[in-house]
Amino acid sequence: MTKKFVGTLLVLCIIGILIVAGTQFAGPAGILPIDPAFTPSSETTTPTIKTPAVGDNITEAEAKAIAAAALPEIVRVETAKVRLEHTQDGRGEHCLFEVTDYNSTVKQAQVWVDAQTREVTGFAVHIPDQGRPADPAVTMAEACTIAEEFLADRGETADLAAAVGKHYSPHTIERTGETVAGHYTVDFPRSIRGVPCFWDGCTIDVDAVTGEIRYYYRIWSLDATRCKGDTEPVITAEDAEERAGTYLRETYGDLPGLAFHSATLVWADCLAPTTGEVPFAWKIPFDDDYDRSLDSPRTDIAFVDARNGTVLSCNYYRRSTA
Amino acid sequence: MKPKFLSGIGALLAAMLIVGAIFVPVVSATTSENVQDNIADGNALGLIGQKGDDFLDCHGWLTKETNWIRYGGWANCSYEAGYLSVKATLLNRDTAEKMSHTANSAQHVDSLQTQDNLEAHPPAGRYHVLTEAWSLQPSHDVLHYSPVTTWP
Repeated sequence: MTKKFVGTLLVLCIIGILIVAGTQFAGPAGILPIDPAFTPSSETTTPTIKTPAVGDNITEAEAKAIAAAALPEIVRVETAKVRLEHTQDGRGEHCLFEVTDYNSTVKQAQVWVDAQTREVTGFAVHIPDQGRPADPAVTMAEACTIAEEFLADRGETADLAAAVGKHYSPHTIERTGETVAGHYTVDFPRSIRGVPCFWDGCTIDVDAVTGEIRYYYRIWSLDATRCKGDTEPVITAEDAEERAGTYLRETYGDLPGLAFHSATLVWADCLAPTTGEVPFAWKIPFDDDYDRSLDSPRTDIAFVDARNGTVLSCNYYRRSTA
Repeated sequence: MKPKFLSGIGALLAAMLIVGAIFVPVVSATTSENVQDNIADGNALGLIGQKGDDFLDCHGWLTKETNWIRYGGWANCSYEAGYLSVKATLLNRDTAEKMSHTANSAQHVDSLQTQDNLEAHPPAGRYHVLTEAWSLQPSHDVLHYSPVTTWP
């Protein structure tokens, strides 16, 4: 009887030891992949995505195929993911398929495909910033030439004005805070009867180290027949600046350091976004000491009607905490 | 006869437990690449910038409202990361200006989102959100651009 009891006890001890050992060594199994379960918290607002009526759009598979054809060296149908993006802005409603392929360790990409027209409206190519030099190897002039050649290859130079926006943006690696060479942004506005649009056009990022196209986006939504009348301004740029300055002083008081920068004529599609005649206006970028003192300095814009001198829009906003 | 039978069952159970004790840890270690990631991340940040296996996904969004642009972003891991950071920056495409940003970070999470941020009365232009997410244990980086939204 005693032997049986001792034997049973021994077996139980061995079992206990083995269970403890097994649990201990099996620790890493606790971090095996699990299904992602993303649940937005109640503290934030997640935009509602309205799905268009079935039949209006191309399918996800078609969007993948279009994206793969656009960037065949990065996007593959087998590895790409698709998400439907619904946007409502000054131009109305838009549905885009965003096709992403993050499978490569060298280059990753996003491609936006219009869900109705099948047009590739843009793409972005992501490459690791680690190891990049601190300074650009490409000049701004070279970047502009590269962007122009890219558009020419795509057959998109028709109805585009010369590059007007030219900016250099260094990249900051978030986890280390290191700043490395980034990209040049070159904007090509759409031209209607020789006058550039404010919104419509192409914007391109050129890698400042490799000269590769890193970003392309095209907005082309304005009905050209809405741009009517003479394209010769009645008032001069100087008059327009003076009117904008008067408006600012009367509305906001004296703005220390107020400065206007190179007024240009545009079709102000941003001020008549859906229907009706599009204003022919002077676009006047400006800033003041407050704008320039911000961590991210900002440039405001005034629009003055080029035919009658009316200040159509003069955006100026100062945060109350400043 | 009966004691021998009981001893046989006991021996069988013991053998199965021994095999299990050896087999389970081996399988566990080989199916989780995190074992190596944990070691690497603990040693240095030099292995930053690894990408390419869909471990980490991030996404930025923006909506146009009456007086402001509301925007934010989120990051999502395939499984729990030792550390996860996400930052969403509102960019003006016309001027290449960084308007403002919102960010969040946490330890031992598999998903994370930023608080919403509002950019009140921004200048007229074309805007999008750049979302940057990175993780430790395992170490990954990912970027995302939202589609462009016009303002006003």
